[in-house]
Amino acid sequence: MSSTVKNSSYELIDVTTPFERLVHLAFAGSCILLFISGFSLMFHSLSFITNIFGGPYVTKYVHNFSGLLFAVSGLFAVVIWFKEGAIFNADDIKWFMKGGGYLWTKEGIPPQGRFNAGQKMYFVLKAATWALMSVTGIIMWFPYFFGRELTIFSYPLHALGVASLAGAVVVHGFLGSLGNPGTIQAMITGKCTRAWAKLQHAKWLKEYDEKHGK
Amino acid sequence: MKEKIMLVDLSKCTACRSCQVACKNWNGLPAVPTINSGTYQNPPDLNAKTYTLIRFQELEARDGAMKWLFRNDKCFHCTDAGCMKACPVPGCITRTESGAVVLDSTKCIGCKYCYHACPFSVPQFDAATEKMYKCHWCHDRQAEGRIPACAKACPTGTIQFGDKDAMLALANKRVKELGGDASVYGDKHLDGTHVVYVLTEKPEVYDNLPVHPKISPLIFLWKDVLKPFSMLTFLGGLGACALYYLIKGPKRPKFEEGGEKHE
Repeated sequence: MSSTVKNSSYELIDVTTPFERLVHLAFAGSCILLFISGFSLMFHSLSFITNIFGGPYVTKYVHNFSGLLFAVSGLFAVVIWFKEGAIFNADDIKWFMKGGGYLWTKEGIPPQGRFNAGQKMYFVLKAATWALMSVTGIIMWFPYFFGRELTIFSYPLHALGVASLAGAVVVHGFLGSLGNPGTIQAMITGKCTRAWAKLQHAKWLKEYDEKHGK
Repeated sequence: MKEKIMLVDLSKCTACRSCQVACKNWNGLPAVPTINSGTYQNPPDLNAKTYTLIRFQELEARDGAMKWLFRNDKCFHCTDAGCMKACPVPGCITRTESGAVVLDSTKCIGCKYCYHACPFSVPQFDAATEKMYKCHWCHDRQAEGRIPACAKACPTGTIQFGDKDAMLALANKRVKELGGDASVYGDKHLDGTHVVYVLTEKPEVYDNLPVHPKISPLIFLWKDVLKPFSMLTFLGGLGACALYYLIKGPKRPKFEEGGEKHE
């Protein structure tokens, strides 16, 4: 029952690269900061939350600069995960038909690659809103420079991005932690257990084993 | 305090700029150095240190001669105020009983939302303090029973300040007297502005004056539709996760003892 035992279900295998983890940490961290600061400014009733940053004035700057981090880390995220995240295959369709095994059935879920179809869907949403939020955010930051028309269009578009992300981010955070034990360490240390890989990403595990001569 | 109206009868304005000076004086605002751009209008626009401004406009009269149009420009103190709708900081833009829309610059975070949300682009940004400033209708003077400084200083009776009904009656009476293209401007816009003009020309003749001022529908889409919707999706996501966790629970990997070969 040791993690060093090859091929045991406890065996720890590398599932993410350090660079991936860094990009994910920056993108996710900035995203969470943006949500907290943004919601505390958007809703007067949540204004008390601005106190954790030091008041509304600081919160505005927290939002602006975590927005910059979001824009930069998002660019890396889109580039490094585009091939795995944005290209769907027949298995993904089957996965969707079964609700990913989360809702009404756990049977007949096709084995998934390193990203399952739900994660791919989240990637596509994230890539689209990354572009939308970065562009409208910069315009809203400098309304005099961009002028009335562009600015006034950016306000509802920015809120549309929030509306389409808010629920998805919560679900993504849940599925990556409480919903699927064993996932957090893939984000932090980069390791997963063989049992976790077999359950969540069997197709990827098969490719991994083939690559490592098993 | 009763609801007030500031009546600005442009037919009486001589562009003496007493209002401009009195406003600077009362609010302790310094002069802003400007460059002569070929007009008497100075400064060229409202700015963070100029809450009210006489706009000078040259108009060609019917006989080919030149005619001046003067307009005392400042915050209209709208009943349906776009700036209040857009401001993210509670208590930063508030309304007094008399109808003043007061921007407390000490609470301003410099997001500039109010600038474009205002149909008249009234609030002005000061880069040095990173805050917005605008006419506050001398709410401090009003609290002491005084009238705003610009109205006090106006020597021609252009700017008058009083109870709503009396001022609107006066405005309508004056428009009848003037006849022609004269009209009352403001009382029907934005649920009634608290600064109301008597215009001598059609509204479209005046520079920088929207004919039908209204808060952009995009501001409503932002604040009244998508903002609550984003909270809805957030809570929906949270609720769905909580329910899922309670009903289905986590998806745990199966661990087996020993080092058996993987398929």
